[in-house]
Amino acid sequence: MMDARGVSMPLQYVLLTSIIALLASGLFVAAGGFVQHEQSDAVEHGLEVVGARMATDITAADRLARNLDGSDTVSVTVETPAQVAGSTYVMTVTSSGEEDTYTLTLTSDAAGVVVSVDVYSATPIQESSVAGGAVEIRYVAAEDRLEVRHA
Amino acid sequence: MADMNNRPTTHRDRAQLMLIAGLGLAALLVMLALVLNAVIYTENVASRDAEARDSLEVLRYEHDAVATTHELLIAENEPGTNKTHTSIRANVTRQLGTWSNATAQHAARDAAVVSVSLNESASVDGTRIVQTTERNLTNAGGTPGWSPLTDATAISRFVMTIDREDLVTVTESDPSLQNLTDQNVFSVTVENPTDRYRIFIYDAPTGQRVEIQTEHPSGTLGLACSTLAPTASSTVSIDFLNATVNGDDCEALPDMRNLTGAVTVTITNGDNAHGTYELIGNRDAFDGDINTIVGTDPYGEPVLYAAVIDIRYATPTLTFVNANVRVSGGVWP
Repeated sequence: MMDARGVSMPLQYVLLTSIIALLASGLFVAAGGFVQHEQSDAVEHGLEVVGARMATDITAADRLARNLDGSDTVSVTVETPAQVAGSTYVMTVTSSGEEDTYTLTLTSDAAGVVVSVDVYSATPIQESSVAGGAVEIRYVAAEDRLEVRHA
Repeated sequence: MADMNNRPTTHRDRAQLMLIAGLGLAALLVMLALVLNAVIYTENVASRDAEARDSLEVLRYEHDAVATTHELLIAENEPGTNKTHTSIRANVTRQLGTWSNATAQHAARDAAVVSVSLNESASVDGTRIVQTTERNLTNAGGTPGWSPLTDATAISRFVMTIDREDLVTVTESDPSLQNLTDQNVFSVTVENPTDRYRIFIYDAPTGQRVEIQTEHPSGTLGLACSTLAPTASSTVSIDFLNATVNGDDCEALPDMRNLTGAVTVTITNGDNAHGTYELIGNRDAFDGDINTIVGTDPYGEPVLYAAVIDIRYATPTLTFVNANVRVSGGVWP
């Protein structure tokens, strides 16, 4: 056949396969990177929203607890999502070192995303970690402090 | 391999790689759709009301409960006859219960359970000691040196209106402590076991002015506060707790709110002053210095000095109990 001159069939096959494989893998790498980037963005955005809601609710619990003493009670249950963009996460409350200021750090288990939110509370907050899900913000009257724990 | 064996290719054998690439791409698109779905869900969560919204309702309810109790205290502590501490407490309990039931029905519409009640054991009885018609500031038996209130741990009101003409006119323009005591100047002493403020009230030698000076716990006499009283029958109104005379600030009056523990109010030279007064303290016993018959000056009558209320507010996501809200009608709780 005239169109098969100078090129053997195996060589033609290998060339064709290589070109297609190169194009396909390039497409995978580009699309995969794009999807991964979008997922990280989605997780970060989701954690920011969850963190802001938690900070609001902790501040609300602080506002209610400020004038309490003895056997008084404040308990706020917050239904945070167990997963954000398919990734579980952990919320950690730590003191920021400044007066009445705490840092709520949300760490995604899979995507490696970390988001920090400032929390203001005149009532001391016990440093603790809790996974996403139903969370209770509770006033511990005996120690005059707030505690974040699983509901 | 088909081609290596020189077997002719068919349409069925072609494009396996394209097929695999297509499937992989489809999987990536599905993942992208899931991520977009997560973003949409996040936006949904972000737009919801936080549980904190309920906390505002709690604070509003707490504020309303305190304001209502305060109004009840004022109403129940109005001067009247045949009142006892027991009857006042019963009235406050009943009326607070009525208010609590009304608000509970309203709150039930928002799936909230609320209540407020009087904590009787923590509430504090008190006494209003008054002289409503003008006379000397002596006790019921006419003794000029006496204590209208002893061993009270708090005073919520102490006002006095006195005539200038019946006060001692001191002879010195800048009298010393010795001058004031030597001339039997009318004074009011407020003291606890550690601190003592003696407040002298006299007619200034320059005329037309009433002056107030305080002997402080250190034993020194403070600066005078002078108030115009142009005619002989002019009166001055002194609010000892707010430190005002005729509504104006008087620096000579001490800040007595830091007096803690058992507080005693003593009048000295009450025969050198003429007027009316009202004093409310958290002491619930009368003694012989004042009458117990309402209207026979000076007399004492029972009041509920401070009401302590329990406030409860619960929703499916929020529980709030404040069992120790103290409500009193005065500036010195």
